[in-house]
Amino acid sequence: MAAIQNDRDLLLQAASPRVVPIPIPIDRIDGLPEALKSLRIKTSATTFIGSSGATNPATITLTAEKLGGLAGAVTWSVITGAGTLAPNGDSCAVTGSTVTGTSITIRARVTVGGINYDAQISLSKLGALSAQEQINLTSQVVGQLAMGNVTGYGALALLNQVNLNTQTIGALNGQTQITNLGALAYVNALAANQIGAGTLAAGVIYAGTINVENLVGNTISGKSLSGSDFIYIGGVSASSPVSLARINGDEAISQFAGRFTVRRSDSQSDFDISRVGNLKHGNISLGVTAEFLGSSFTVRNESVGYANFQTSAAGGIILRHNNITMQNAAGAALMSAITARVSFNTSYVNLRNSGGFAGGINGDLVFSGSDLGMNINGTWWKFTKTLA
Amino acid sequence: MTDAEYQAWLVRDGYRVALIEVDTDIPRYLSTVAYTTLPTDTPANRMHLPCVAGGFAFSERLSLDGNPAISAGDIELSNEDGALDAWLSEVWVNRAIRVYIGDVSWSRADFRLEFSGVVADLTSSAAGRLNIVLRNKLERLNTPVVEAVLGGTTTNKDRLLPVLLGECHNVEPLLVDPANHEYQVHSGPMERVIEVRDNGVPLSNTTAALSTGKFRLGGTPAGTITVSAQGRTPYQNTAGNLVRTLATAYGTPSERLTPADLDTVSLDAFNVLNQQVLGMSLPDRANVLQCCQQIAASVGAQVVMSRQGLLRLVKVALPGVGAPVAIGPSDYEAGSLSIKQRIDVVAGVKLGYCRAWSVQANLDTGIPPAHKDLFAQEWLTVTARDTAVAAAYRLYAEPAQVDTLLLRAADAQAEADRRLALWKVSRTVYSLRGYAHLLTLELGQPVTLTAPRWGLDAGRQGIVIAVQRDWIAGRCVVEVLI
Repeated sequence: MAAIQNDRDLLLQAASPRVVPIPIPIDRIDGLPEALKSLRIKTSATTFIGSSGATNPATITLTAEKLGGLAGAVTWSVITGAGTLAPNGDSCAVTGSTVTGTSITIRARVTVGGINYDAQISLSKLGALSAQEQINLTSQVVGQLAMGNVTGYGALALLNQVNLNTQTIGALNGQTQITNLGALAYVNALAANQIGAGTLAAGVIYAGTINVENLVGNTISGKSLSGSDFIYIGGVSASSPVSLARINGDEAISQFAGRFTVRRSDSQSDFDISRVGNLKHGNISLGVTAEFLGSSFTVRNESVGYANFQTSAAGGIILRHNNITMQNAAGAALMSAITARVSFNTSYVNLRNSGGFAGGINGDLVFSGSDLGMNINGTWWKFTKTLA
Repeated sequence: MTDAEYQAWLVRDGYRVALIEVDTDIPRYLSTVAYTTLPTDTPANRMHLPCVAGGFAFSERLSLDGNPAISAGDIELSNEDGALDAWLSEVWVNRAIRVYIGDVSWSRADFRLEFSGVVADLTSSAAGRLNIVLRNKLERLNTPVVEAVLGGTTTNKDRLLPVLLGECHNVEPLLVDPANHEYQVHSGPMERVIEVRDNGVPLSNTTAALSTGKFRLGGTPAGTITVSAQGRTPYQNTAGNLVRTLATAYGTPSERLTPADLDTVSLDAFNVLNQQVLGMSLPDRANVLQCCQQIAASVGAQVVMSRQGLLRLVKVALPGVGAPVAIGPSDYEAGSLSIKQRIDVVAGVKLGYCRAWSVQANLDTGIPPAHKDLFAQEWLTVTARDTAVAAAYRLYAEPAQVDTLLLRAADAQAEADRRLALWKVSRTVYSLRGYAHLLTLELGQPVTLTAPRWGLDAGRQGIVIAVQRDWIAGRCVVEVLI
């Protein structure tokens, strides 16, 4: 294909644009002059504020503008709604107090040669509330706002979270008790950041029961359990010879600031500390009066050099069991450093010294049971209550 | 026989004879004196009727005003006894005629073809004479370019099929299929459809069929369809090639020239020197010769035939192309040198170019005003002026417009400048009656004319613009433009 050589086509090919709009005189288009005639309404305002009585503004003035050569008298009328018009040629005044309902539609009409040229305008009438920048739902709204009536959420709609402490005022804040947790109530995992700093404040959980089964590994890991009253460790109610409870830990339960009570309502098993090594080698140090209730109480010390009981509390030690057996290891004291009274309020006490020091009790040794038997060098000695 | 031997024979004034062959239905072989070929000649033993009364003279001329000039001649036959009267009932018109010049003693093979043309007519100027009116072979181009019509049943059925050569702007094509909005630009394969327009607005939804020279619109046109296009393939757009194409591919088939009728060497040389691009649209009846002359004239040239009947293009330019032939007082008859013509000086040349082949005035369509003006203007123009010459010769400043088929302003301006340079000086045509050795001069051939008069003492270069040869008398009247 040979290149273009002639000057005209080169000029045309290089030109832009090649096609331009064609202006057509109006009078050359049939019907266009009439079609261009029109009427429109200009208004001094579009809204009355105030649902009853005087409104702001009190009146709105409408002015009909004739366009495209339109000429003729303007007729004003109400199309929809109700209100009082005050026509004055091409103008018309509408008094807000006369408008009933929420709007009024007014028509201006010019008739030329049997052709009506109309223009319409709608004016709104709103309550006083519409003029306010913000609304107090408590005091300014009667009744309850339905969800469907709330169409604008303002700046709150742009947020993906709401800080109840800083972004709400009044009743809805961070201290609010939320009784309807919605989806939060059904979560099976509560992340730390969902409860604030990750720690439940004291007193947050103040009622109900924490079921151990809901804790990881059936284990409570920690260093201390404290309370103003007792700590109850409930056992099974069945008669199976299982351990009542097990407290494991690298550290012994060495101190009880309050009253430590082990109760067992049945008689299936005694309170048996068989692995006293876990209780600091069998050394039960009681700062207060210790009371052991139950059918039997046995302390079996298997470590050398430690006494079974040691207390300096004024109340001493009270053992109230029907059948008490104490056996120390060789070289260990059965009881030592007990400055107060040791009371055996029981029917049977068996203190078995395995060769160590029997005890060092500086206070009274009281046996409240029926008889007291002592085996001294292979000879039994029996003391009756009457003897004492 | 060599050219030198032939030239020497012309000079020594031997017994010249002209053998004339006419391709009538019954071929006629005539001569100025009785001559029969030898048995060893080819053809052998052919007798030539010695009925030529006078000599054989033929004149040819280059036009200086741009209008084509067909050379003409006449051969007078003796018919005192009416023996040749029957020839008048035969068809002589447009029959080929050849004139061979040689010595009556030569064998046929040594004769030289000095004229190859056609018979314009056979008439009688007197009771005892018949006259063969001659035209050179350009007369064979004096035929319609095409005679094929569209046919069919449409209103255009009798319209000639269009021809488009080179590149043309805004041609109105022929509607060949109204149902399919199909138009034809050229009656055959064409090079390119540049742009189709509807009332000047360019159309994009057209489909060109270059192999048939047609295109289709994508929808109903709103107004006049025009097209800018490049025509016949193999695509040619220079004067030499366009003339060659027209002369050999168009016109009445029996009269078309063949490649053997072209002076190929001359045309090739002309083409090298004249690379201006042109275009021609022929939507209606046109004459091949006129078209060739119009193409040649666009670059300041003319279509001529050599003595041997070979088509060539000759440009009127000074100095001429090639080595000049020296013509001095010894080469022409004493007292025969004269001033034949003084050429009017011009102070300006205005050329029209880049024709809008379909002028569309007052287009009321969505095109820029400048484009509307472009479509409304048939010609773009360039002008070359010489105010000093205009003042000296008291000439009008605004010259008459001469239209060309040039396409580019640069080419048109260069041609205008060339023509102004040629004609803004006083030019003179000298005429002389030369001796026989000047019989071989060709139109456009450069010469150096020397004479004791008119400032020609030292010799001045010019070109041959006319030659009238009398082969029997051994004289030629030569006109030289200086």
